[in-house]
Amino acid sequence: MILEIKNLVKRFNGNIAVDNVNISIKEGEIFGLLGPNGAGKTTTINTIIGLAKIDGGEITIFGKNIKSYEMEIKKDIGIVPQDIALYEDMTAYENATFFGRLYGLRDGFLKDSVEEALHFTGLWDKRHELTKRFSGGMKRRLNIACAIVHHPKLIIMDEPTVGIDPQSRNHILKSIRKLNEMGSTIIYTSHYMEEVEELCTYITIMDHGKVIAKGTKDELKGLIAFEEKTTFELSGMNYTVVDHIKKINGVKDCTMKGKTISVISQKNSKTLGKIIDAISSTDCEIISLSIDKPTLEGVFLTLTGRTLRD
Amino acid sequence: MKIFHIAYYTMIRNFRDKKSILLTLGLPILLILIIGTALNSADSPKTLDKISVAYVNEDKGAISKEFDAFLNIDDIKYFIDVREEKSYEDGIKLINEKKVEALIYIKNDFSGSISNEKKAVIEVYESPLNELHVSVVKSIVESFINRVNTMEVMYKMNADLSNQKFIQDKSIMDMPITAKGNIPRAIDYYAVTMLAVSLMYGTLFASYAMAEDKFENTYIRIKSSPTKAYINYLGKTLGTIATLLLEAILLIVFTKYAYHVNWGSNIPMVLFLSSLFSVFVTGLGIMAYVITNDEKKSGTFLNILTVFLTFISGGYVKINFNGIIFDKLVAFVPNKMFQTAMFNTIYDGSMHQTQACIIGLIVITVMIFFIVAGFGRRVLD
Repeated sequence: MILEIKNLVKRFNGNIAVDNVNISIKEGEIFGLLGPNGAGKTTTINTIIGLAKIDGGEITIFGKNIKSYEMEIKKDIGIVPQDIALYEDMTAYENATFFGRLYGLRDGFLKDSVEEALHFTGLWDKRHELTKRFSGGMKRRLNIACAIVHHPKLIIMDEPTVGIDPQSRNHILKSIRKLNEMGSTIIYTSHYMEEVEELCTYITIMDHGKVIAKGTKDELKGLIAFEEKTTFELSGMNYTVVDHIKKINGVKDCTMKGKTISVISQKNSKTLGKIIDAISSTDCEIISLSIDKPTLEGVFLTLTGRTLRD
Repeated sequence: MKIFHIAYYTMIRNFRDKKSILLTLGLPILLILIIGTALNSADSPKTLDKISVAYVNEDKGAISKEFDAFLNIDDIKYFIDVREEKSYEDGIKLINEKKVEALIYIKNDFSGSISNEKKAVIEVYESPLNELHVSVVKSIVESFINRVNTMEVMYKMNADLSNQKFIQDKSIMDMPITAKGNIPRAIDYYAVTMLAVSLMYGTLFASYAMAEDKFENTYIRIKSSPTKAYINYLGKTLGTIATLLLEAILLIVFTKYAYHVNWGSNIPMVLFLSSLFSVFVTGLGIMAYVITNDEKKSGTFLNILTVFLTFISGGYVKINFNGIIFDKLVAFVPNKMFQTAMFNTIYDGSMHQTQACIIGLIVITVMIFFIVAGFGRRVLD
């Protein structure tokens, strides 16, 4: 394990923000940490990077206890904060150099690493421009460049794609995959569920300071996939078909809206053929059919009772 | 060294802040020109006139006779025109009638007190008419006292004093202010006071340097890096001091060549004093932030403090408060100490006074950094 959190407790003014959290992250993973606002994920991240002191439990990173080896551990961690953390009155090159030096890089190695980080984020051509003249997307990319300049083994990305254009977003997502391929382990938090679904190999969902679910995407979806939803678009309207479908064994509900019928049936109940037969027995034709798969958004909604942006 | 790296970028960023540079460097340079030119009348004297001084010596002892001899040295007579009077009352009367500009008064127990190792003073009563002239008289008296004190020490150390006489030598010439007979023009005066103003506004650089990481979010990066917090703050402190010193050099060079301001011949001392005042100013800015824990409040306070200290130390216009207690209090104002030390350095004034100002500034600066260390743990950590 590259990171192991055991029974982590963090309180603020007597209120518990993180409550006995256990997290294990394997080397090479893209680890998704999900949770609504106030779930405790940022506090958990802050304890990992040394911004907040822990009240209980233990954090081990790279096999070393963070309390005893804080400075040594920090050398191999890169942080991409949610808010842009750059000096606006410095150029891209100066920002990357400044933060690289804080991580102990020097001389030729610092120069090469800065060049590499700026090439990686596509900012090399803009290296001499002041950061304050950058677009939101470019600042986000520089935010990442400053976090990876020292080649960290573990990169923590807290909502790195907030408020940017699709082009920059794609660039960042590609960069994350590439960093992972190059050997970095990544902890990723986002409000964009589709990003987490696309990127992350393992996901932990937090709410009210506790871990409420964890697993791979499929494992998490499996937690809520008791039902299947099938939607049919028909050539005409026929209300008797709804009654016919409802009588099919395994169908839990059927509703009609205009020329569209939505059917909810039990998972693996093999009702699709029977439903199609029921529709065909009327004078309506099926124009299109879609089967809705369970999503992480659905998992999240089911587990927390809230959408991620609540 | 990470500290120097942080200091370097702090300095670069300070100089990129055009608004602040305009306030701390551009405005003082402009004010030197405007106030200096406006107050420097065309017929302003370039050399010092002879100063008329009343002298009353009620002591008949050996040491006061030495002072009589001292006043008769040609180089002293070059500066002052001594008019001996019989009594203290006569001397004061001459001051009130504006016939003399100062009275040097020696009481009858002067030599006796020195022999008995008691405190003895040569008193100088001044006319408020010409502050500069009075300061010359004070410097002359002070140079004599220093000489007596030195001889006293040598005597206690059993040194041979048989050849010690008040002769025209360089050590005496070094002491009086404006030894070469030059007096500062208005532009020379305001160049020094505006240098103090320029550096005082540097408190804002220091305060901002401590606060910025919190509202720029960069503190997340810095705290999560393997760099200890104190290294970061030390780097920023050094960077601010370097910024202020560079500003001082720019102001001195610019005014020397563009306005022909007299900065004297002892440039290393001028730079040392500027460095010392830069350290004090940086400490003051940091202290304001760590006490208020709010960059806006600290900025407002420092702006007001800069204007206030500049005003009472005669930075905008020379002020005569006519109150001994107030004058003494103002002498402890850091701006005043800096200005006094600068004037003494530029115009070959009292070394004793310069040393006192330097020590005063060092003591205040050390105290400030102690306060910063106390509050800083709570605010900056």
